[in-house]
Amino acid sequence: MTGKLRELIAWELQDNWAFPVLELILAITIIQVLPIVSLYRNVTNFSKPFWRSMVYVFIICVAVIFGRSFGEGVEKRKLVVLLSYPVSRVQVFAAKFLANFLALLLVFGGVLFVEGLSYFMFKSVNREIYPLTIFDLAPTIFAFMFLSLFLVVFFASSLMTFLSLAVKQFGLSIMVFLVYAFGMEYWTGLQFGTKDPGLYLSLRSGPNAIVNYLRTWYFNTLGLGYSSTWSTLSIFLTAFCYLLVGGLLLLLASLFLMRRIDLD
Amino acid sequence: MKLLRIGVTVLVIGVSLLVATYVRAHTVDSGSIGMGMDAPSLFGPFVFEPRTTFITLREANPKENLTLAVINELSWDQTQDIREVTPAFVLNGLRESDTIVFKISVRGLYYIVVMTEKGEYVNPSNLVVQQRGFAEDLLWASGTFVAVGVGIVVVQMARLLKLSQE
Repeated sequence: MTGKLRELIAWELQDNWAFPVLELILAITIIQVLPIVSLYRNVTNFSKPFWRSMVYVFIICVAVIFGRSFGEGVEKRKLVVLLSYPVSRVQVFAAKFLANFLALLLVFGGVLFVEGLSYFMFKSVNREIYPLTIFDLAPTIFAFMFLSLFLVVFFASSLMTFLSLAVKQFGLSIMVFLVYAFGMEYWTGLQFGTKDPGLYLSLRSGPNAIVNYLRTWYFNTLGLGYSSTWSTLSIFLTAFCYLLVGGLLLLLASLFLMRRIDLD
Repeated sequence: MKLLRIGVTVLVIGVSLLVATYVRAHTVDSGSIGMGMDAPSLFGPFVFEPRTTFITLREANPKENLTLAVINELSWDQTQDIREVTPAFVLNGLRESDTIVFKISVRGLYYIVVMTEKGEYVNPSNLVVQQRGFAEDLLWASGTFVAVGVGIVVVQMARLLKLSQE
């Protein structure tokens, strides 16, 4: 990482994560995640409630963080000031996106890690003694949950960055993002049945479907036994591609906008 | 200033953890769990927190003089022999439909084994496990975070006040 990029990231963290933004996000995440409690360590008892309670936290936190960073940056001409230094637009974009994305991932991932520790996520059942069942793959489930968390935060961050740069206003970009995100949650719930891949365009059901599919695939591929799941290949591909490819396309579109945006 | 911020963040983590501990104090229930005729009465592993645990023996054969043991997963996996493990909790002389109330001291994965007094497994059996109340380790953790956070904030505030007076 170049010195300039490092400085820009440090500046972004100081500016955008100033008191009480970090504290509020930490508090909301801890209060939402840690009350999930169960006697069992299977995907139904852990993964599903996690996504259900975290979906609103993801949406609101990403909206505030990226809206402030890019939308407010353009609106209040902070970007103009930043670009008066010998740095390129791509460097500023990369620093802002990386700083906020990694910080959010660290907060959410940290809380998921603590919750995982309370569920002994590193510990699997001894399969030399008992026949391993699909419910005993706690370490694998947590690994796939971290992957899904990465995808969700990446998609939401890219979408909000794109909207902030396209709309160029903090308030309006947040409003458009919230309408889209909450609208998708509502619309997918109304339009599709549980076996319809369309349902998994939701940030609540999609990650859970990814975790379920990957866990079953892992179990069957390693020859640990055979298990079937409601999360079919088409459901998995819909959720996975929507988050990963959608996120990448939006990120590229944001980069294009950043290079072309008129800041005057 | 940086240390003050760290103190505030630690304090916020502690208070949030305290709120989360309060919220998660609700009852979790295993539902009715049973074993088949051929399986020994070994249930679990369960994630037990250091809080009040209730186990109700809904069905057992024989119906009297039963022994219930709660065994740490690590201990059980090494030997799988009830005579060689040291249970975290054990109670003798139980009857069908009795409810046992106890508290596990350390968070962990535990098995529940139901046996006769002679050490034979009971077949079939059916029980319900519940946990209620505050998880003590989380209370301690949140208290520690709050104390450390308050300590850092107070020391830093005092230092800043002294500097402003000078």
